[in-house]
Parts: sequence; structure tokens; C-alpha cells
Amino acid sequence: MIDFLTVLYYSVLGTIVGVALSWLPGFHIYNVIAVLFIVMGFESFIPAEFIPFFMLSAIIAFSFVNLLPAIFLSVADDTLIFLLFPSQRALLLGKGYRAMLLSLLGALGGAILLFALSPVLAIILPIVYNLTSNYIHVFIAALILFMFMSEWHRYGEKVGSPLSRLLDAWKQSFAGLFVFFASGILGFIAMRRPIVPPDRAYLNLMPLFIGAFGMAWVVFNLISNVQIPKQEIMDKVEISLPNYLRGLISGVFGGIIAALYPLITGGMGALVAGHLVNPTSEDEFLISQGANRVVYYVGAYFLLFMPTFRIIRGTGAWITAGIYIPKLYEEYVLALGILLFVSGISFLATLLIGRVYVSLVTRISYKKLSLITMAMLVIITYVGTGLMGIFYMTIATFLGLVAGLYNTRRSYPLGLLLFPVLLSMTGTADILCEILGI
Amino acid sequence: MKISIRTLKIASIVIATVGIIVAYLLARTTSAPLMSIIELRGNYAINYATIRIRGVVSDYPYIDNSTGRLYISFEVNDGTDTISVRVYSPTSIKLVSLGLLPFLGDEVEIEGQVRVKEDYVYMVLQDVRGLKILGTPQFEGNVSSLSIWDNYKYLGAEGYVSGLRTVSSGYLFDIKTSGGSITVLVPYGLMYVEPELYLNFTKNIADGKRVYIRGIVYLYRGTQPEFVVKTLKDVFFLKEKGAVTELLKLGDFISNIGKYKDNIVGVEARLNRIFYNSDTRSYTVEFTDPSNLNIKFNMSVSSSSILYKSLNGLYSLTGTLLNLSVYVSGSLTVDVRKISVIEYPVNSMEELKQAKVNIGDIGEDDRGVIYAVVGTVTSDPSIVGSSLKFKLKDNTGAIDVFIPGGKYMKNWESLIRSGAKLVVVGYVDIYRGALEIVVYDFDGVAEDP
Repeated sequence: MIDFLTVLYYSVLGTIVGVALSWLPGFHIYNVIAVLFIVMGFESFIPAEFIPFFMLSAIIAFSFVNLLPAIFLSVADDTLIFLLFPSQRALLLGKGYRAMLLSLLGALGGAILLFALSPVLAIILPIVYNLTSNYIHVFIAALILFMFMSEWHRYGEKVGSPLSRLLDAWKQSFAGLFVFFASGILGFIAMRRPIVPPDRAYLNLMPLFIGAFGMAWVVFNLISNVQIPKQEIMDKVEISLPNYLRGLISGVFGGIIAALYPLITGGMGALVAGHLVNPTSEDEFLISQGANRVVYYVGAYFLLFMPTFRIIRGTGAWITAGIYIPKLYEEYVLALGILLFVSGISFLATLLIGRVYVSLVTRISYKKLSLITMAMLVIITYVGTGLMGIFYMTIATFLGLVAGLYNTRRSYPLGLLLFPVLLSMTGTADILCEILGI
Repeated sequence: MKISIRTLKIASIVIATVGIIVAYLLARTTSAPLMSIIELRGNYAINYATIRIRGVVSDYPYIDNSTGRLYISFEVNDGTDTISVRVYSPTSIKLVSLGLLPFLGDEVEIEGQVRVKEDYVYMVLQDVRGLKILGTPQFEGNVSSLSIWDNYKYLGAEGYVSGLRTVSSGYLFDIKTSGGSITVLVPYGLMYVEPELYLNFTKNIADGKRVYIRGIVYLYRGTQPEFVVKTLKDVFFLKEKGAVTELLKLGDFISNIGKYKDNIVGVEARLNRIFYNSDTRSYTVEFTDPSNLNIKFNMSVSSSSILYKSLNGLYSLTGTLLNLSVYVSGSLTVDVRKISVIEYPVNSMEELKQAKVNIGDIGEDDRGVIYAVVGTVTSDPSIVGSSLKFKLKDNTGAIDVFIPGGKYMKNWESLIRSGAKLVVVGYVDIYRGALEIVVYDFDGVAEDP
């Protein structure tokens, strides 16, 4: 029998680590976990059977608290790329705190729904997964196609010569294709010839993601010379229940898809769910992204506890599975309790730290904050992956910039992961290897 | 300093492109690190790392297509430890279609991704180019027996198939060679690698067949050497050696047995007793000379099918006159290959019932003797695996009746039931101290008319 108080103790410890590090720009919980466990050997301080609870708590805390740098500093990971536009708009209108509240409400609703649906999902997910797992590569290919088609092509200016109008209409689409496939080639090279030693394998793609999603945004902030107006702090936010539910369901649905299937990230799950549920306002959108994020990160890790369907999804789960895999039904029930407990604490912590953030972004120059963020991203990348990592991060940053400058989808750098794994899944990776000679 | 967006756009594309080219050129000069397997075990920090290992394939590949997606796994040992290498579809399909499937004893270098779980570690081969076969066992000649020192050697042997059975990993049988016996495994996986040859093999393989087989020696459970067939091109079905055409009486055969070494001989003999050896799953059958019942000789029968395909289970009591086709091995043991009946001691149900013995008269001395008993089933049969067991009684006593695989009998439920009056033919055996009649042929049970 697992000692409840010890579970609680390590869950609180995980929550503290998650809350303490997730408000910092550029600190992704998976990188933190990887550094704690792989670089610092943290597992020798925690008994193996309590590590899943520690990790679960840290991931829950991250999925709440990390909304702050995303909203106020625009440091994005791939799950946030769809969140940034409405949240940035809100920030520039002095309503960043409101955007934070809406996203937080979505996150809390996502956690509660994940808790409530868990017994049902334990029955449904194995069936759904077994029916569909042979076709994951087809889903992913379709999703990529959908990403292209949904902005293929945009209208251009109706001035100039026919050729210039034609180019104008297609340049965003071409830029999107360039970003996706160039990212794909870069990811392919990084996967085939890892840039880190084997004992840092978890960090292999980290510089690419930091570059394409985090650093690219910071550079945008720097070059766009943003002035953040005074932010309105409020104690309540109004939204109708149907609107809230629509945003929540969209987010939860997208999160479940992303948590269940490998390669489909929160951002992609949200894209699918967003088109299915069709949120009609930015408020719904913010709610859905908050929910999506929690369900994606926490749901993926939670699969490790599922007694009927124990699969490993995400870096956190893979690190845990190397040390200890939960085996008892009791652990599943305890994890459900921890899910609610830590979500509540994280919600309150985010509200509290959010107020600090508001004063931070209005008092300190946004440029300075962006430079601090940039420095942190560089330090994290260097510590984890060395100079080679910095080099790869730089390339990825420019790919992220191309996506932004050409106003095409910010999700195209996901080609970093999607392209090489899709090749591998379809058995065509060796063709590219042959061509590239690597 | 001001930079126009147009310049920034072009610069971003150029820098990203140049960066990718540089990364590519750097990648061409590097390779995945070579590691020993012992370094991987329990080292979760290495999870997902792409590395190389070098070692010897220490187990034959496991191939499964039950999910519709071909899955292959094999083990590699590098002297420090063993690791399982897994290949998923579609890489597995390519591996097979390109004929690159590694096999027992091959020296290989694998570049793949490591997966470390709580209590085990494995590698995933993600690309056929990640597999390099550095060396493969070369054929070293023919043998008639194996020793543990032959591990991973590629050898050949000629002999007669016996004890053919299917096990979870494939077809398993012995070949009786001139110097003893060699166990051979033909893995199921070959069905996916050489489907036509596999079909041909399954059609032809049978107890008593003369074969020449080449295989890689594998130590089953680390101590028992056996052949594992790498390719069905290494299995040859041979014609029978020239049989001695004359039909010898058992007495004459025994007197001159040395003359018939490594030959097939026709022998006339009477069926006397049957004994089953559960360890080898074969029978030892005692025969007597047709005219002198005191001349007795034991021969092995590797499969029950040789018995039940040839004999009428209801009439083949002790004393049945038979024409045997037997093989005399180098060590002068004799295997029965074929049986044909010359004369049954009874030819009708009436004669059979006259020849019956009273259950109470059967004793331990009768072990192996094939009797007919007539009686009433005392209760519904109990099912032991696929076999049936019930008690039969007559006026003189009761005895257990055991029918191996009896559940596969047609209409056994209506035939064998409490109160049914049956005629049962089988050999006497002793199981856990109790006498029983073992029905070796489903025809050996009939309703008492």
C-alpha cells in the first residue's frame, strides 16, 4: 500500500518545482525534468514509486503557470502558437490580465474535465487507439495537408502586373512550404546525426524547438519595438456559460487527440478541434487554448497511470518509464486526486504570480524583458546541448522568423518533428538518407 | 540601425538555408557513437538516443504478423550483455524483401534508437541502412550429432524425421542420423520470408521422411544444441535409400540386424505391446515373431499417427499380424516408418466381443497389451485438457479409460456418457498406480450393439 502522506509530500514538492520554474520565460518543464533527472541525478533523492507523482505535479503546475510568460512575454512553445495572436492583442489593449484569466479558467476546466472523464476514457481510449493506431501516419499526413490547404492560397493585392499579383498571392504559401520542408530537413539531420551525446538524447531536439518557437518570437518582440500599455487588473471576468463550454470542449478535445497520438502536439490537436468546434470569439479561443494545454501535457503523462491503457507519451513519461512505471489501481486513483489538488494550487499560484507579471511588463521595458528572455533561452540551450545546440537553435530561429515575416502559419516549423517521423513511419526515410548520404 | 522587412525576409531565408547546408555537411562527417550493451541497461538518460552496437545475433528472429503489421525482433549479444532489437513495419517489410534479415550467429552492427524502460531495454531499428551484417557463419560440414561446442556453427545432417510436432516457435522434430539424433527447429517466421518454400515444406514434412538439413546450431536453454533452419533452401527431402525388398520374419531380422544398418527393411511381425514415452512423445512397440511368440523385439514409433493411420483401432488387438517398414540406425536401434496390416485377430464386432477380456482380470503384468473390454460408463467423462477420461465397469470390476485428444472425436458427447455401454480397445497402462486402458485411436471406442 502506498503511503498517502508521502505521495502528498512529493506531489507538493513537484508542484513547488513546477511553479517556481514555469513562470520563467523559456523554462519548459520537459527540459527542466530532463536537467533535474538526467544532468543532476534527481532520482536518487526520490524513491522510485513516488517519481510519477512528483512529475505529474510538476507538469500540472507547468501547464498552468507557464501561461504567464506565453501571454505576457510571448515566449511560446509549439502548443501556444495559436494562442499568441489573441493574447498579444489583449496585451496591447491593456487586457493581458483578462486574457490570462480566461486561459486559466480554460485550464482549470480542462483539469476538472480530465478528472471527470478519466474513468470513461479508461474504457474508450484503448478501443479508439487500437482501432486507429495503425493509421497514425495517415492522420498526420492528412493533418499536414490540412495545414497547407487551410491557407492555400491567400488573396493578394489587386494591383501591379499579373505576375506580381500571382506571386503576391502565393508567396505566403510558398514561404509555408519552405518553412515546413526546411524544418523537416533540419529535424531529419538532427535525428539522424544527434547533436548531443547519447546520455542527453532527450535534449536533442530542444534547441530546434527553442529556436523555432521561443527565440523567433523574442526576436519578433525585439524588432517590432512593442510598447505595453498599462494592464487592467480585474477580479472577475464575464463570459457566458455556452461560450465557455464551447471553448472548453474544443480545448479538451484537441488536448485528448494530442495526448493520445504520438507526434500530434497540443497545437495541432487544437487546430483540429478548433475547426470541429469552431470557437466564435477570441474569448472562447483563449479558453480552449488554456484547456488544450492542460489536457495535452497532463493527459499525455496521465496515460502512464491508466490501468487499462498504460502507454508512454511525452518526454516526462519516457523519463519516468525508465525509472518506474505505475502498476497499481491505487496509484491511478491517487493520481486522480493529485490532479485536482495540484490544479487548484497551480490555479491560485498563477493568479498570484500573474499580478507580479502585470507590473513587471509595464514597469520594465519590454525590450529589456525580451533580451533577458533571449539570454535565458541561450543559457538553457548552451547548458543542455552546448555550442552545437546554439548553432542548431540559430538556424531554427531563422526558420521561425521566415514563418512570422511572411505571415504564414507559425506551426510550420513543426516540420522539425513531423517530417522525419512521417518518413520513418512510411518507410521512406532511407530514400532521403540515400539522397543525403547520411 | 534600421533593417527593412523585405531585407529581413530575404536574409532569414538565406541564413536558414545556409545553416541547414552547414548542418548537413557537418552531419556527413559524424556517425552515431558505438556503445557496449551493458552501458545501456538501466541508463534511462540514454532513452531515445541513436547509437550503434556491434555483436552477434544470439537468438533466431521472432517474426509476427498477427496484427497485420509485420514485426521482427532478434537479440544481439556483444559479450557484455544482450539486447533485443525490434523492427516495426514498414522497415520490417523492407528488411525481409531485401533479404537482410539477420540470423543466429551473424555478426552485426546496428544503428538504432534506444528505449529504456523500468526493467528492460531495447533498440528500434528505424532504417534498414542501420543494419550491417559484418559476418555470417560459413558452412563447416556435415555431422551426425551435436555438442554444445557447436554453438552458432553452420552444419548439415542427414537422417529420418521423427517426433514431428509444432511448438510455439515453429516446427520441431528430430532427425535420426547414423550417429544419433539431432533436434531441428524450423521457425514460423520463415513463413513470411519464404512463403512458397514454407508451404512446400509444410506439405512434405512428415515423420519417417528422409531429409538433409543445414542449420545454425543454437543452444536451447543454453545447454541443448539444436539446428535452427535459416532458410528453407537448406531443407532437402531425399529419396528413401534402397530398401531390402524381401520381407523378413522378425526372428530372421533380429539374427541379421547388423546387415541392415542404415537401411530400410521389411519385417513381418505381430503386434504385442505398446508403451508411450511422454518425455520423447514417442512409442516403443514390442513385436513378436509371427510363428514364435517367444521371440520379442522393441522398436520405436515416433508418432501416434504411424499407428492410427495404419491400424483399425477397434480390431488391432495384441497378435495383429503386420508388415513393417523399419529403419535400422547406425547404433542398431530400429524405427518403424510404415505399418500395414496383414491380418487382424478379429474381423467383426461379434468376434471382438468374444475376444474381450474381463476388466477384473487385467493386472499390472498386462501393461502394454492391447485388449478389448466391454462395459458401462459409470459417469460422464472428465475433460483433462483436450483428453477424456472415464471409468468403465463390467461384472468383474472397473477400470479408467483415457483417450488422448478425445475432445476431437466426432460425437464423443453422445457416445461417451454416463450409462453408455461401450466396447473399448486400447493398451493397458499404469497411471499414478492405477490401471487404465489408453485408446490410441478414436476408432477404438464403439457403442456396444
